Amino acid sequence: MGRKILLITTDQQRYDTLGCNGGIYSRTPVVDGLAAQGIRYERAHPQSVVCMPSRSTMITGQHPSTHGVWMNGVPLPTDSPSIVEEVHRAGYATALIGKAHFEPYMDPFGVFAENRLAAAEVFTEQAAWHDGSRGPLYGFDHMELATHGPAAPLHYSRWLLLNHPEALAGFFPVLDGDFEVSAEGGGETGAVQVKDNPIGRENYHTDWVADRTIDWLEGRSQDEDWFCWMSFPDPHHPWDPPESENHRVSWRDIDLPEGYIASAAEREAVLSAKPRHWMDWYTGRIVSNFEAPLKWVPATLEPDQLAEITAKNAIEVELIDEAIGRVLAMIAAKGWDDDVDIIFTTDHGELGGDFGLLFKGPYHTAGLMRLPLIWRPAPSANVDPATVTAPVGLVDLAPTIGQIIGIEHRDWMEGSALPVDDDDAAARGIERTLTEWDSELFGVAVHLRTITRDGFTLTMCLPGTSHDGTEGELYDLADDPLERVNLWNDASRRSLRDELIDDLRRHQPQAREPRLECVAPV
Amino acid sequence: MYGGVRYHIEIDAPVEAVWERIGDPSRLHEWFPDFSASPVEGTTRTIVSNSGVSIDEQILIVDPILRRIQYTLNLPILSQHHGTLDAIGLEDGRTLLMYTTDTEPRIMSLVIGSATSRGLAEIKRQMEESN
Repeated sequence: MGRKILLITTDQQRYDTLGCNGGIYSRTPVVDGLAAQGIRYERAHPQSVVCMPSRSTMITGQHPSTHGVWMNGVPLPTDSPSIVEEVHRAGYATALIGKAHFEPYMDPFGVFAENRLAAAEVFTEQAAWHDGSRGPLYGFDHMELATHGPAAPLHYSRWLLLNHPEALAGFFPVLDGDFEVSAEGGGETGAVQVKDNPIGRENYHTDWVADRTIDWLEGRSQDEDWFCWMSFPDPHHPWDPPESENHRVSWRDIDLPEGYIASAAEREAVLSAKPRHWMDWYTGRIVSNFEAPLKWVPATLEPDQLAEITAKNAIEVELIDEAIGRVLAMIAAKGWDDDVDIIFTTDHGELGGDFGLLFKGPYHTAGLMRLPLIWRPAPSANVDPATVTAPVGLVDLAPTIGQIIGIEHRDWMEGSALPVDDDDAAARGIERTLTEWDSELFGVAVHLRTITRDGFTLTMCLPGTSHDGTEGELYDLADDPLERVNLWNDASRRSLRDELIDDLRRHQPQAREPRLECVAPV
Repeated sequence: MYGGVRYHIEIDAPVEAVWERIGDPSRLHEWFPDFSASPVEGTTRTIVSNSGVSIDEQILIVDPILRRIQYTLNLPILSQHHGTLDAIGLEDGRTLLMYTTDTEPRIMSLVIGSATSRGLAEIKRQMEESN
């Protein structure tokens, strides 16, 4: 019998939403408890700040340039390398319950397997694997899928339709009449993508994911090895948690986030010192990411609206924490806890009011780039609790899972198993992370390459419709954690800038050829 | 909002042979993996998806000199649509096949265009296998 693995992911969750990371809006005792028992990473970064490329990195252990999912809407080929296929081959039962999003949701012809499973009333299908064999889709012999509401043809939507059809209309309608992401406002302040949702808490997707996870785990025999990816769709927008939970956090009591600059003049001065795509989005001149509502202009965000969004986000985070608590209690009751590794993280962050912005986009800043990551090794492994400050990435998850299970490092994996402390990181030369952005849609092209190392984050803006290749960003994360002072053009930092650019270029993986096609907006 | 996408593919086959395959609108389903039938009556083509959904299209242009087919989908959700398929002979005896689709709302162009891009890949496969 080997170590079992519970991989818990959320979607679009900021580092500072957890109590153990200094969060002040939500109570997160369950995840804080895992952090106290395990390893808490202070500089965990995604390799992309949007869902599909980031999730593809988690499962392949590769950067977006290598696995080829360069933006949302580019499907991960089913014959891509997958750590879950390796886990399955090692004899583990494998499940993904909640949000997958390796394939696009907007799929009217039912081309993609993720969108076919629920209607066919099945939980996987056979697909080509990386090594030329065939097996369950991406290695999962059980996929029970959900997303942020009932719009996509997934298991949660079908369950809701069959059992609680009255709840369907309570969610925020994600698309408007033009099939663009909706900029509709709601709540008490008219905040964008906020809605009071009358759904019962027990029928909301957060509790559904926990319920289905418990059900799948109950079906495992006592000595069976299992790998379960429990993937919560929240706290990704829209912010429409069950209204019965509104009492948890009142927006009127919210102190605005530290990253929000209250003075419009000061905010715009900071934005103006960044590459031009920042100000261009703030003022509504361009939108580079389909998921940011086309008809919403960040400059119109009011402080009360940000407070209400922050409160709704905090409620969603609390519900997730409680749902995790129920699953962990079940695992403990089964007597498994001593042999279960638990990893908690998210796919990318949320701008959350930083610089007056919301959602996400081509902005490689802490709100999107600094992720919660906690690894509670199985107590039977006798790993001491620690805090790791060295930069690590989601690209490191696959080799970590492999190491836990005893699978040798595969040559297609580009990351390293997560260090257990800073000494381990130093001994293994773990010192940098890379993050990429590529978007090309409806006449707007933005391409970014970022490196984080030695306490600095540097972003190169490659040529596109907003940049000529000369712009960039450089921040000192120790002296300027809110990234207010762009050092890119600071002559005194020129040698540092050149050194980081050189390091970035030397470690940037080659882009996959031919490039995979973007076949949907999301 | 109006918007469009463009896809292209190079095929190792002469343009005359490629046009013979694509120039008959009623043979669409032979190279379009998502469709099972595409009968034409007058200027109306009815495309039938593998899941049984039927959608009517108006064929606007079938030009054997330009080697162009242009059509518009009759769907209530589309206030405007033009899809254009051009086959262009290259000097080395190969063919550049280019598909453009423009729609309002713009998002639908990506959905329609991506489906057609799978058709381009299938034509390439068929033509190069028969070479």
